[in-house]
Amino acid sequence: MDKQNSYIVGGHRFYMSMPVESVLWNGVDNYKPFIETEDTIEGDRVDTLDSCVFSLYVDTVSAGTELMESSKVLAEFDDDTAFISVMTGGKGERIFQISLNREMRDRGGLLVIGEDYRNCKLYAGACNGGGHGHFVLNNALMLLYALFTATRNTLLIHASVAVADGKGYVFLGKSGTGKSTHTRLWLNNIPGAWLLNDDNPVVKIEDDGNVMVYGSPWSGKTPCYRNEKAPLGAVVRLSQAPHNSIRRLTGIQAYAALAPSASSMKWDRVMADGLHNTLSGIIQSVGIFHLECLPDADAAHLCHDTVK
Amino acid sequence: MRIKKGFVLRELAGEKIISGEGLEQIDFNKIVTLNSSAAYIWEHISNREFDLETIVDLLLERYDIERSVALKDSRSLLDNWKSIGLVEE
Repeated sequence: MDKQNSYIVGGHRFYMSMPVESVLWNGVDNYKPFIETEDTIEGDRVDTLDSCVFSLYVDTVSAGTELMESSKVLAEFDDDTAFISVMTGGKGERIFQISLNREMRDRGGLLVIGEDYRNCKLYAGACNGGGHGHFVLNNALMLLYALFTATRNTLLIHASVAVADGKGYVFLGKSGTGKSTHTRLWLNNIPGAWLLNDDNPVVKIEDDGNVMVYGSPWSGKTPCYRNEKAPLGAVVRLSQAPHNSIRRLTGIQAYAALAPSASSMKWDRVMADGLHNTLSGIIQSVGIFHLECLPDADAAHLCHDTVK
Repeated sequence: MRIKKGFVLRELAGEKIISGEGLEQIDFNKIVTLNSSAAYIWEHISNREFDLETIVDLLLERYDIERSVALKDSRSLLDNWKSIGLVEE
């Protein structure tokens, strides 16, 4: 018996299912605000699904070892957030091995993208449930989300978002730049400001052309999983400096400020095209700024006064 | 020589840019802007072997300039592309 839930994030539906008794069901509270339906099912899953961007089945027993042995590594990504090995399987399937870091790869999960987007599978048998299991599951879902929404005017973006005056302000920067710190400064100094998401919000150009920012189940170390949205007010790239100053970016500079923070697999041409279209659309309708700042209240006031 | 794999010419707000997108260019973190003549050259050589003479000939085909000027411009374009890492021998 499997439990199968549907979730709606950024206006896109996806499914996640795994055995009812799986320990991984404990600890997925970050998805709760986004649940649309909850079902218990037996047997074939795929044909019963309503329209969705993807569906993931989690195999909590198998580690996918045989698949692994017949696959070829194309590239490895090892940054401060995760280790991901991109592979192609014996039948040409796209496979990702996901773990916290390179040392943990033997206990990683194997994510297989089927020919049918409703047939993605995560082999999590080596993850031993618990903390690393959830890390792998969250990263697998983020990866699938970025992969399957890239052509739908949607960006999963590495950023922290504060909402003020009814609009969402997205703060970008390399790890350690102080995105979360700057958001805190808004929460403490800008009346009525609140935190929408602290790590991976969704930015989307809606069918009517408006650009919105959504909370998501992925928020880094800050447990902030709000199923809320706000019109995107501005995007601000941060860098540390011995002073506070802010300027507006346009054209290629705006594009270059935003692009590195979008989760993407640019080596897939279809995704890269989707990403380019979405980035172009956003910089045409939303202000993109560069803030050089100190971690102080003046930075928040300067930023808010300029971008609001 | 050739343009390395993984580079894509795109249009952004009326300008032509090159971004590194293939698995081969995962670590390429720049965006290169091309003026119209550089974009014209790129479009004609990005999928084949070429050398300095190829670029000179392309410029002469399109622009009414002296060969010496075309040679100088071609050299400087090629040097620039090599220094950024767009070209392989």
